[in-house]
Amino acid sequence: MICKCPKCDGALEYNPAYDKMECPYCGSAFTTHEAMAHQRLQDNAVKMTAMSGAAYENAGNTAADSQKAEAMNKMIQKMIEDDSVSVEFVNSSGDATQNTMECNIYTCTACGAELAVNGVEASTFCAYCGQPTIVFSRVSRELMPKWVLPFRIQKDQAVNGIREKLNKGIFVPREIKNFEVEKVRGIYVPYFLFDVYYYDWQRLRGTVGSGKHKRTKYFVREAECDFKRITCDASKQLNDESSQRLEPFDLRCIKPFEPGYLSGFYSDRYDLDDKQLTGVAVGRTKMMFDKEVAKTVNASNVRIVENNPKFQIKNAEYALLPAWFLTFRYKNEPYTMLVNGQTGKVVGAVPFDKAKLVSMFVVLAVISSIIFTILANFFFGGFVDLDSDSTGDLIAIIGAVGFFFYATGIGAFRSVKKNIELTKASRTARFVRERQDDN
Amino acid sequence: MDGIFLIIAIAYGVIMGIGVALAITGIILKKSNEHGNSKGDLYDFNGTTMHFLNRQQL
Repeated sequence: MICKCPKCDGALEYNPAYDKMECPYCGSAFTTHEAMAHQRLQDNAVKMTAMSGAAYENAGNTAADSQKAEAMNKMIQKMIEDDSVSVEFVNSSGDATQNTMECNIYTCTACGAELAVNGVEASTFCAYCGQPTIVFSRVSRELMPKWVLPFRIQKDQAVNGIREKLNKGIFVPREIKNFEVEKVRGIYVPYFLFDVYYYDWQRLRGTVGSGKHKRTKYFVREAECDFKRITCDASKQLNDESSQRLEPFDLRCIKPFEPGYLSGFYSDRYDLDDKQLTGVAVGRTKMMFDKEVAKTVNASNVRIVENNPKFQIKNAEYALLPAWFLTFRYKNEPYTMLVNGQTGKVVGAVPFDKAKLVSMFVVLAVISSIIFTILANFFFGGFVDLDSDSTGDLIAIIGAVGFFFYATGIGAFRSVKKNIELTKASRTARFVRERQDDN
Repeated sequence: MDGIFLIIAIAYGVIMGIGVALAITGIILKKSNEHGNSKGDLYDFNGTTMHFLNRQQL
């Protein structure tokens, strides 16, 4: 949907900083409501002109009659402006257009992603895999969301946020720090917001006391909760790990949907409907519910041993939530970082400079080896009596400390590696294809 | 006997040294290259009440 400027007819774009639709040509600014009202008026005038023109042509009327018709159109338009009449917009197939909107659909031939683009903006590369293999597919009538969380973070802020994070990283290669700014796209990600009633009766087991007084106790909790607006990502293109890391969104700022908010941004299409997402919504609800219940149990290692959950999906509403996607290339591989379009939270992991990493590791290993050798020599060389009863405990403590270091280090490396894989758009693309094949 | 202790001390020192280096570089790498790793709070319980019908310790 294109919103034209009431003053110069240029295409308006939504500016998150001022929550207004701005004209890049004449600099005028309007609220989304004003812009949409003007656009509806324009659309209606075009329809009425076309209808009256066709009627007069059919009746073989003269130019003078056409002028009369034009005068009548102006009068009706004035009445609409004055709210003297209400106008209902009905599309050619007879369906009310309130729940649908027209979008240009672009398809990526590399990863299969589909993006709905609004306004006059043309897409030149895929926001998901970064390939310039995106082609215009069709004009489509899409289900209109009920809610939209407008972008609060502007493109420059998103880029600066990512740049700031990357510049702080001592292992981030210089090529990544100087990424190409053009490849940043604001995308409204489709979500379903679920209202879920959840009830559960639980028997829990926990440990109380410490040392010799440690005992296992059992607890019973029965509770219910009405969860409002549980967010579930409805896009196959965006993997669930990434979308969960984008959260939280402050849904108190959510607004009733106006197509004007999409101007200047892409909007991803939902390809998982509310029924397909029911399991995800209930799963997330259960996790939160159990966590809250466990907080009320004054014990450690709390586990549910028996329970009887019941739930009811009360409502599911389609909403669009904002995210910035930054795609860049490093060693011919595309990577995509995300920024929460409302809070500015940066999500993603980037490849590291191996030479720097190895250098630091070697230096640290040599220094700490020397320190630990001196300490060990000091301990084993007489300070500690190896024949005493406490030797076993000492060896166990040393072993535990060593295990802690190795586990921490290996865990950190594995986490970074896993997240780099997620950030690699080619991995995302493969993931998308796998999920599409499942259906 | 002292020689054995020295070898044990060196082996211990190297094993622990590599462990510490691994832990420190891992943590720095995580802070340097990984962003937004923590999953956000899934739900803000402000305004939503958990209604407890039964709470007891057996």
